[in-house]
Amino acid sequence: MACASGNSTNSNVISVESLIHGKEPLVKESPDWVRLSAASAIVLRLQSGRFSREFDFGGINLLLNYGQGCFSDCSYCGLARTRPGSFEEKSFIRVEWPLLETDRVVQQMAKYENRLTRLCISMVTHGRAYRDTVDITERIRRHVKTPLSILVAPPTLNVDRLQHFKEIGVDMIGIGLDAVTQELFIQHRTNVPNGRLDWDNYWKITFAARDIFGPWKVNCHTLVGLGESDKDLIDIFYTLKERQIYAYLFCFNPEPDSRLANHPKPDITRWRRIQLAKYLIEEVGVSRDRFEFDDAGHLIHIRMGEAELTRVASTGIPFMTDGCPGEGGEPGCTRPYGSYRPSEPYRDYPFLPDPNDLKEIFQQLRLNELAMA
Amino acid sequence: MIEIKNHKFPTDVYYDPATHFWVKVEGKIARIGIDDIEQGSRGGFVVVQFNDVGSEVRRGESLGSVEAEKHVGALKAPVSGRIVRVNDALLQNPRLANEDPYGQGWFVEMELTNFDAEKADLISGEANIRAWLLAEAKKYEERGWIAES
Repeated sequence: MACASGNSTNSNVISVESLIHGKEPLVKESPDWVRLSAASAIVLRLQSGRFSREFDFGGINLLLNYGQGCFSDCSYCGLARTRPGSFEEKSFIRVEWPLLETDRVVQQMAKYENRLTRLCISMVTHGRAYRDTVDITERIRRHVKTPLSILVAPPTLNVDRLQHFKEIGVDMIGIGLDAVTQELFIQHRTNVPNGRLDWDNYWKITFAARDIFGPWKVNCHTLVGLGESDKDLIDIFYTLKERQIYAYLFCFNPEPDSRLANHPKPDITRWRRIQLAKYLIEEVGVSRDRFEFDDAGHLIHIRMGEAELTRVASTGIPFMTDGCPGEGGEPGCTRPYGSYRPSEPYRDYPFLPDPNDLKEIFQQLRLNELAMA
Repeated sequence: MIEIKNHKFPTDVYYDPATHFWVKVEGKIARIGIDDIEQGSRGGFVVVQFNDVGSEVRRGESLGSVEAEKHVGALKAPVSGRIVRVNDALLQNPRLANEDPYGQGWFVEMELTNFDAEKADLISGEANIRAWLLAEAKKYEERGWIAES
């Protein structure tokens, strides 16, 4: 999930002055310093560690770092402004993100470039985020050719800035919408202590990015588990598909000390069915009238035969991590253990599920209850 | 204490080559923990669990489990015996195993039941420990489990 956005009044771009009150302390900040995910640090050999199961992994996730942190305050995010603790101490998606010198990270990227599939810089809502993202992008592009995405902070951007990202070598843009309805967005991202993020601005930036970067080069993060219905999710999948924008699925995973720390994860059966539904919409082209909901918006049937659904699910692909692709279209950003603990069942698989995984997936899906020819 | 690839290893303990556990024996009691290179390669510990005090465990059987940020796995006993004490401080703060693997981060104490026979499978003595660890460090490096220095 992403924590990047904001509100605007007369302009979509928040100035440095409007965000930074007082002089910032001299800390290890972007662009000279950057955080990277624990998995990225491991694959770049900047941190010791290993995964429970061995698989090829080459998706590198960077996160801007500022002493004053992110100026948004989303209820579910580990970087939220009012979550207890200093920005230095905060975790993001439940694990620590080591803080390292940007040039050292880029050096390691160049060294291991043949293993890398996708790079991504996550902005945060901060007055310097745009210029520092440009700086880091340029440092990377001087040494590394691996495709590069930016998970943007809409309040810091406008059309010209998006255009500039493209000109300096960014090929995909992600927007961390997360909340899939305006009501939920306001609840979790706008009407929060230091929130004020703006639903309309998120969409404005999404559509601007679509115009600039082209079809299937923009993605919206959609978070399952904030209180939305299945119908809300399926509606947004169709809305995005019509505009040739990917929906990337994320599973809510309670962040300790956040305002949603005690909010439950979505039920695994619901999660699996949403994964399957999205795949059917995006990749199989199933029409909207095949999805049947009850009055509360729960998905109760897919008007397809069980054998047909089984055939699609058996590929395992619907249950793999949604993320920007590598150069050849292969999964590029796979975020292992991003929304579940290693001791919990995989929510999304950073590799093609094996026969044992599929057996578990089918038990979770309960297709016999869902299918209706 | 010897140092290999930025990892430290005391030489007054036994090491289990199968698990990278260290075993410090005093009389019939052994204090057991994980060595420095293994804790590093598992990443930051998040949850540690042990079998109940009083339970019997044979060498190779599970005496508990550990979950790190990106890794989960069983902890297999390096020696046979009865668990007589677990490190409550570690249960409260699993990172102690990362920060101080030979001190505050110890795992359990066991009353040994077959040590005379099993110690032949463990590695001891500075020269043997060094030779084994050099080979192990190379293996860990090739697998990409340890950071570059």
